[in-house]
Amino acid sequence: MKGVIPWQANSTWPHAVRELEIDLGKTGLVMVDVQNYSEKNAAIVPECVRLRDFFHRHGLEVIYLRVGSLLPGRRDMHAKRALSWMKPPGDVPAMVVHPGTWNHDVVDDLAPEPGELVIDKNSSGAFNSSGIERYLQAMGLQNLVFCGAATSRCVDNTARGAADRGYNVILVEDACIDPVQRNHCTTVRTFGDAFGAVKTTDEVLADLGTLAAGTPASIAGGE
Amino acid sequence: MARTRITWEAPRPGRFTIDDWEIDLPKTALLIVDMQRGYTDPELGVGPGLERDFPDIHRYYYSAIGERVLPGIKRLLAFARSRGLEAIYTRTGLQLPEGRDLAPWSWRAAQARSGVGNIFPKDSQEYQIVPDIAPLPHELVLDKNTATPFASTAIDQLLRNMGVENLLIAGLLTNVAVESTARSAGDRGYNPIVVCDACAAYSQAEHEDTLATASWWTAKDVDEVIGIFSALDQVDQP
Repeated sequence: MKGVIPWQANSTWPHAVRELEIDLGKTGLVMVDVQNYSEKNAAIVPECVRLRDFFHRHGLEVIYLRVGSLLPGRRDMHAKRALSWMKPPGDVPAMVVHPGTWNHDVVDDLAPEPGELVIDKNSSGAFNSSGIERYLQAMGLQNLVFCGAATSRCVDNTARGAADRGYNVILVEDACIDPVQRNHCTTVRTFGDAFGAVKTTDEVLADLGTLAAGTPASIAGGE
Repeated sequence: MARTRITWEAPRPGRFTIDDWEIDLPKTALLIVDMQRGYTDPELGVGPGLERDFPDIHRYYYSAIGERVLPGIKRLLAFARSRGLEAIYTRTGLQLPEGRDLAPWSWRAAQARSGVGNIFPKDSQEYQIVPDIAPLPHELVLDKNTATPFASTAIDQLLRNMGVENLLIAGLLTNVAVESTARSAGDRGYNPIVVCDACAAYSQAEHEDTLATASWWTAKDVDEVIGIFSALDQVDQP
């Protein structure tokens, strides 16, 4: 169901787009790196579950991204990342996160179901280190709802990548988390100004729910 | 002397920090981002709309451009050319009439149609690079319709062919095209150095907050950059 939803409704950006017509059937949920390796992810799982359940209920695509090295020993990562990613200070080894390890798995409450797309990447942005673009195109998606971790790193990099390539991206602020609160706020602000819409889980469910019910404002209001 | 260690990132609590990083000085290009008249001349492009509806932004933004961004880029450009480093320019805008190069259903097309957008047609005067820092005939100019050139140009392939590993990034806006470019370059393994006083956002807060989120890139000012790269020999200018 196509309809107009509020877009950058509260942005103070001089170039904000206030509302946008979107096609719910061409909307997918992108769950960024909600994996076991970080305990902090637990804080956003309830909101991510609500979003995922909505997408499942309406037969919409859910795409799961997982970050890590693709190979043990990290020889597939760029040099700075191979040296420092998920490594504590001092002479302590980095956490081992690659496919096949528990750390690398998506958390149980959000485990991908059979028939859902899981994309592994070895960098922050999926457009820099995976074939995501081809999949999104082939799946006919135009609009992407983003949740996950960390807001200012993998979420920001991938969401910018998608927005820049023309996808209409909604970043769900209370379903994203960053270990540094200031960085979360910076990403939320810049993204909601220059790249797409920022909404809460409640707002996303209300806006998309209206489209699903088939009574979008643009039709209910006239014609 | 070509390889030098430069300071890289500030300490991160509880995390391993890359305090410094070795770079190969000659494998560096200066990337000048979107220094076009539509974003720098207050009479053109976004200028009149900002002056009318966002006077605080207008005041801050155009003074930052006049006082530090343009002078900074002029210094960087003269310095890079004198040391034989490539200068590469990006220009952003609509590549086809009526924005036919944008997906019709996309927010970008909606913004282009809205009249409040900040993306101008390729044949407009807004699209032109500021004459004072115009590219020389042998320098690379990349046309794009996105914030990062990694999304709509062949920059990745070009940089690899040219042997560029390090990017000095300067231009507009700090938190939009500059940050997107630095993020996508850093995430692909390049060493991006954002030359912070040669960049501007619409407010000082956005500029500083962006520098604080640096992800796989680092920020240095014009003086620091010139200090580091002065180790390179002077070359005869073409």
